[in-house]
Amino acid sequence: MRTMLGAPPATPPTNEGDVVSALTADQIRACLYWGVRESESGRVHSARMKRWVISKLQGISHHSADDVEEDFNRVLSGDYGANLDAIGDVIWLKGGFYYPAPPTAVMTGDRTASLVSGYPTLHFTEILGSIHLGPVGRTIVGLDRDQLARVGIRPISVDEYLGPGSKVVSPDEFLLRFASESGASANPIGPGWFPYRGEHGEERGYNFGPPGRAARAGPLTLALWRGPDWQGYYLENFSSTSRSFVSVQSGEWRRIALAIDAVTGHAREARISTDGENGILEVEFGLPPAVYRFLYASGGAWRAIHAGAARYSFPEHAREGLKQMLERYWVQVRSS
Amino acid sequence: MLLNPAQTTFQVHIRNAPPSLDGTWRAEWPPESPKFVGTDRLAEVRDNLGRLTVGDDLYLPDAPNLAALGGETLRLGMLSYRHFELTESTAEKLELTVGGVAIDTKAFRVSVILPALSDPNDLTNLRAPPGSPVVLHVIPSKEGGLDPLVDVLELPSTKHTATPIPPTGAGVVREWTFSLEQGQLRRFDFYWSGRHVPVQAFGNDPAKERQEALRVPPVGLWIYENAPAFLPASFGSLDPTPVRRAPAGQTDQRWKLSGPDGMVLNLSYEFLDESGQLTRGERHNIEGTDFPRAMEGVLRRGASQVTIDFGLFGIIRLSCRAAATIASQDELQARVRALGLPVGHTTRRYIRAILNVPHSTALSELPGGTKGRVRRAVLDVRKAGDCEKVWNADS
Repeated sequence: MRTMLGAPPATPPTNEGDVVSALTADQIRACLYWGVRESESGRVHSARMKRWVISKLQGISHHSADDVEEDFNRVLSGDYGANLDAIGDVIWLKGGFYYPAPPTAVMTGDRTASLVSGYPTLHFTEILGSIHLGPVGRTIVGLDRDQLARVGIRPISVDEYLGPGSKVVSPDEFLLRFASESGASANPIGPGWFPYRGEHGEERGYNFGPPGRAARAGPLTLALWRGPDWQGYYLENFSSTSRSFVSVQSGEWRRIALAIDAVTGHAREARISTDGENGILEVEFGLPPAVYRFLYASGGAWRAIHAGAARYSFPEHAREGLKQMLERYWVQVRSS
Repeated sequence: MLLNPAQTTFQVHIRNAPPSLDGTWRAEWPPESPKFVGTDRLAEVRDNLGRLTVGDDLYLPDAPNLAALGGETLRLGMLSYRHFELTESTAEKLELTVGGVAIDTKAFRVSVILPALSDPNDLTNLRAPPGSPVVLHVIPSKEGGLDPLVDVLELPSTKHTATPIPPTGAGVVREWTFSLEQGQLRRFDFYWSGRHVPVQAFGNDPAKERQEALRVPPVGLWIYENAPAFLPASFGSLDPTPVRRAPAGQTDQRWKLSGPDGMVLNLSYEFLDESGQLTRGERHNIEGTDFPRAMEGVLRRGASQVTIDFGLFGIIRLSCRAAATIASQDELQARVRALGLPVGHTTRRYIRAILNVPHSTALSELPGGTKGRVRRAVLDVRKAGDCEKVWNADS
């Protein structure tokens, strides 16, 4: 199994389910790597990737081809956030094709980086650092930016990885920018719409329902609304004489809710602790997509719901990066 | 290597080939029964659709009733083929449309497990580093529920004795391992009950393997202005590359994306809206073929800064300035007549309207002397006294 993942210095996960995910992820990458080397266009269709993974792993990860196929679907693009498509290892193309992301290191510390790439771990066996494998993400430890660049891995910052709009700003500045830079929408509020109450509760740890919580951001007074059945979110500015609304894209509403909590003095809290070789993150609310992306790309994994909190494990060397990541979304981190 | 299907003759030179191979070999085309079964890289002619295996790639002469099978259409010489994968679902549809379909319950397949980076289904071009284990899996058909005793015969056979792979249980994978020396070629035939799977493996120097350069196409944007220039997508604090807006009324065909087919990207841009406020706009999931039109739309809207987001490939930043749009004084006068004379003096807004550039365009972005030339054109038209139309700033 180690031979399939990559000779030392690659460190595979210890949990059996994570090993299966890591094997599946690396065979998806192996197929894309093959595509870049052997096929005319360099891209590979998902049907070929599926067949590749089943041929390689039937009898190794599962006896049944159907079970291997289930792993393939989950690891490629299935599990919320915890898949190769979401963390950026594979690049989706029109028509069901995929392409490998070029070897990229997201710097999370001086000598720690999340390896984001569609190339299999075996491709990196000659680097001087060590590679730690999570279920879908991988981390390189022991190489600085210059050393990474010398072995052909492009170092980038967390901001560059997360894309435009991810820069660290204060919560009121974020709300102000969001409200003023987005195009105004017609008033969507009707039956079944509720404002954000800013409390724990309901599903996903965010409680919507009257009375709503308003946040002051500069000259604006803002409130977040949720449509019936979680369909659609809007940010309302009711500081002017007429109410104006801004549509909020899927996933972004959590960031807005966290900003409203922070501005109104109710910043959310995350707990980070240690369990053996792994760090443990516990939160009682849903994280913004960017945090999940970072967590899984660093080798993290969802574990369980424990005492009302979602519990995630992550490699210890990702602790500082994860702490900074949570703080950029105004979450207070309590370490133990 | 791909052969050109339009050719009728191919010359093949084989070093140290036995004399028995020498000569002209002929094949009938199209074959009498032009059906092919195999993988997506290698397929053989079949007389019928018996003995199929779930996972096979089928290539059938295309017909309207085959469209329900999905897949893709391919041209092979003069023939059009439908290529699709045989699944339980497509097998049922194929039986209904064509008939004569039979899944071979005695079939087995062979997959390459190690080397880990080798194509598991490419059994005739297997390359492995000398001395390291080559591991193959023999997988009996799921449909048959059989526990076959598959034999392996190494070719050319000297002992004429095959090695049996012990059964491991119905439907359970079994393993076959061997190794290769540098430059060695080994061939095997895996067979059971009249089914044969050939395997051909070469011992390859891993150092040479590593030297194979990966063919990653450059990802970025070609801009055809004065001379073609390529801007690669990258990260870091980049100064925006200045580009011109296309002259008014001309279609903008200066852009061409470079990257894998089907790549999609996002555009974000800044422009001054009607109230003079700097506003951000975004466009998502733009394909390569739609990109020139999207860029043209963004620039026509008056974008001063455009960021092209290629995801993990990186970004490209462009700053946009107006193109020199006026060729002659006569043309300026014609535009003044078409648009109407301004009431009072010639404002910046009027100059932008005459030049048909976005209202976010600063006059400093226009060619030197433009303002004076527009004013002179207005004076000339007023002197001529042949224009009664008045410019309406709100129209």
